[in-house]
Amino acid sequence: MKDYVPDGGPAVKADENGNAVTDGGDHHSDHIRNYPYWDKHASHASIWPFLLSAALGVLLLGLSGFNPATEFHFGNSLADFSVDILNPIYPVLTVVGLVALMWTGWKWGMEDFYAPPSEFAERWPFEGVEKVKLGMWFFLASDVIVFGAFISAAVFIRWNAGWGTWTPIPDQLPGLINTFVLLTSSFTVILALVASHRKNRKGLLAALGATTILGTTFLAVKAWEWWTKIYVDGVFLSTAAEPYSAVQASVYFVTTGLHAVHVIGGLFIALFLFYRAYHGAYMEDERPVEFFGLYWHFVDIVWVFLFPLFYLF
Amino acid sequence: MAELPPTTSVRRWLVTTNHKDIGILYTITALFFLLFGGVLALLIRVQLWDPANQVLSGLAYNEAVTAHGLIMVFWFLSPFAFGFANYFVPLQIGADDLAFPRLNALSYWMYLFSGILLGISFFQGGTLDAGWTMYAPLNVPMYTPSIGSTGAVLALFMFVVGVTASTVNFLTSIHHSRAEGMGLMDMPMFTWSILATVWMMLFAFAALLAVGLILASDRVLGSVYFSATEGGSLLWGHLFWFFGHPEVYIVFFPALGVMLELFQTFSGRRLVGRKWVIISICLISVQSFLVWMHHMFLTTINLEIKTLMMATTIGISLPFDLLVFALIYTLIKGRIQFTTPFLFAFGALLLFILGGITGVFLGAIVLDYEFRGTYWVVAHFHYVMFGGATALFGGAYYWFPKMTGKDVRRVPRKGPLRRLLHQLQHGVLLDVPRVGDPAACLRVQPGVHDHPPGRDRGCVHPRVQLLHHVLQLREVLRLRARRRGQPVGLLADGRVGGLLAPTA
Repeated sequence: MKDYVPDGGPAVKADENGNAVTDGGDHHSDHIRNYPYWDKHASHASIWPFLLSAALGVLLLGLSGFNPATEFHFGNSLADFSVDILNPIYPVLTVVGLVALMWTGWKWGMEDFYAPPSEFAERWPFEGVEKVKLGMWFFLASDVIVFGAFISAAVFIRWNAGWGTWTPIPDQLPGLINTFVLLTSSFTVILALVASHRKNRKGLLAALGATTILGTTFLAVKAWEWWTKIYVDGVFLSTAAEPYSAVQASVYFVTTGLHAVHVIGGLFIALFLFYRAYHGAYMEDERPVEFFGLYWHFVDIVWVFLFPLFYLF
Repeated sequence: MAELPPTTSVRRWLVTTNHKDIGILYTITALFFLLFGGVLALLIRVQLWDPANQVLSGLAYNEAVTAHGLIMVFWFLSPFAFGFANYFVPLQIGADDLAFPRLNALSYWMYLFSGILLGISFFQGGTLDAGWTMYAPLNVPMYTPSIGSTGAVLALFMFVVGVTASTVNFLTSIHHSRAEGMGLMDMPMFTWSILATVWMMLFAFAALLAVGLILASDRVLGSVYFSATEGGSLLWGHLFWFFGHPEVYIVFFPALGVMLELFQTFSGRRLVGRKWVIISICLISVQSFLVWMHHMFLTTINLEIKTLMMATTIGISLPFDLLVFALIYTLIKGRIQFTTPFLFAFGALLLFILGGITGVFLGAIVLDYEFRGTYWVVAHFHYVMFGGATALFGGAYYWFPKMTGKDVRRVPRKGPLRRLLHQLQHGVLLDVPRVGDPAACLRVQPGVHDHPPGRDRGCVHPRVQLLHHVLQLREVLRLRARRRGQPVGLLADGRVGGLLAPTA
């Protein structure tokens, strides 16, 4: 039900002559019955907030001691890559926390929790915007600031180093390929939304699948890029290698890394949607596909800024 | 699993997504963190008491100062305010609950577990000791190597994730779930202050999340942002204070909202200049993002930019003037009921005025050069923060009956508790930030109001004398009230008789 904003209609119900209905009338106006779950009772309880928070706590506790507890040896080639674990507690907590985070997140998504929007409401200036969509836009606004800060940091450091003294670390061609891949995946996610709206299950699965494959391709190309930089050019987070300074390396890897983390998170959600669509969801209500599309477009637009910043200039 | 178990069960509190329950959880947890942060403050005072004693090691002292700041700003003040926001904003806008109930519960549990992580960090080789502002390059592993330092940074990161969820929730709720016909200008003042707070939070905490991620990357992954000679430490300053300045208004605004409510209720009239108060609140929210470099006057930023920031800082003091005048005029034009919540709110205004004025002086670049690293700065922010906290305590008294269904319990008129309170009142002064010798102050007898003749009787601090004068004045007023046959002390309806207001 696209963009449905429940609005129960006028407060005083009228009969066909325009007189007020003597018994107050049906408090649901006609069109609220179009809302998929209009007569369902709102939910009040869920264990997943508690468990998800606990999982994140465990993950972060593991990360706090991860660095001193591990030693990564990159070696001369990927075959020589090894990790020494000096203290198993922190790495174990990290892995357990990460797995628990994904599991609790999945269960949260699967839970049948109903939180309807207010039937009557004053919404200026956001009339006509559905509740979850509004929330998604607020979230994306804050994520814009997060990436804005990272990009500002990159610009600030580069300005202080002397703008012209930095040459791009990665090669342009893989970056260009990745740009096309990600832009196409934004297109396929729109196709997914259209398929869902048209109640086309196969089309939805195909489009979601294509988005996931393209996103994975993006990550694969990026992984190859990073492998080249680390093993062929010898530059990584804190290791300078002519002509790149250590901080330039940090800025490149951390910023594109944060973007890659967002892509991975998005793919996790895409897989969740695929699983649900496979079992018949999103035929009556295509909104979750739309919200994922909004997030995916955001990730794509961030890349459109990162590409010139790190690859072209 | 969609219905709520009864309130007596533990499970209820683990699974609830109800805004009133979560409000109560926030309030109680925040009070616990107040105690935690307060104990750290006492440790600081113990250390500073006598230059010869060193109770804490240098590193431990720095940990105490850092954790005290982090806990009070992040884990006490804002959550205490948001306990009330959770409880009352849906009621004030006529909504059933917040827009995303599970997300609301998530914010609370993120808050609690992040606080637990911070507590654990003390045991991971010592917590962060770089100050609550965590300046670079002190915050990189070379200079703060303990695992607990990373633990504290990650605890803050988790806290910010929870805050972001809360922000999205309140923004959507206030913009999407208001009762029909309630335009934005019709909303109650507390909800307005929360709306401004969450708009600032949306953009400010995102900046903190970013800078926290970069710091976490430096510490966990080994990147070199903040140790870079190419502006690494200045980068931290910009990113942190871009968050840090809106943050101080994020901390204060809910308390301001409580003051606005209490002043209206207990003066019996609508706020004077209500529309302008709302406009000022909006102006401050926007301007708060334009002043951050006034925290960086002692860096290598060029003078032209610093002067611009001084101008914007003066600019942001102007709407605050309007707010203070509006509050004062509301009292002047009203009939005041001197109830306990009102006294807290009024006291909060006095503290805030003092703190705010000292802040204006700090906004002058050349004065800032002298004040930096002195108690002027410490006093400024403690006065405004205590102003905020005092207002929130007023809110606690005000809303306690509604949240619990019970009356606020009175202190008994006789008995050992009363005697102890009396002795404390007349003996010990809790001041900000220093005392003389508190032990000497305790030797003062209750009921004896002459101040000691010389300046060397132990309890010599001028503010103690001031308190004695204030208490003398109070006794004079009470005597006057009694002679007139007027009631004195706490009355049955919550007002305090025997002060300046004529009672019936």
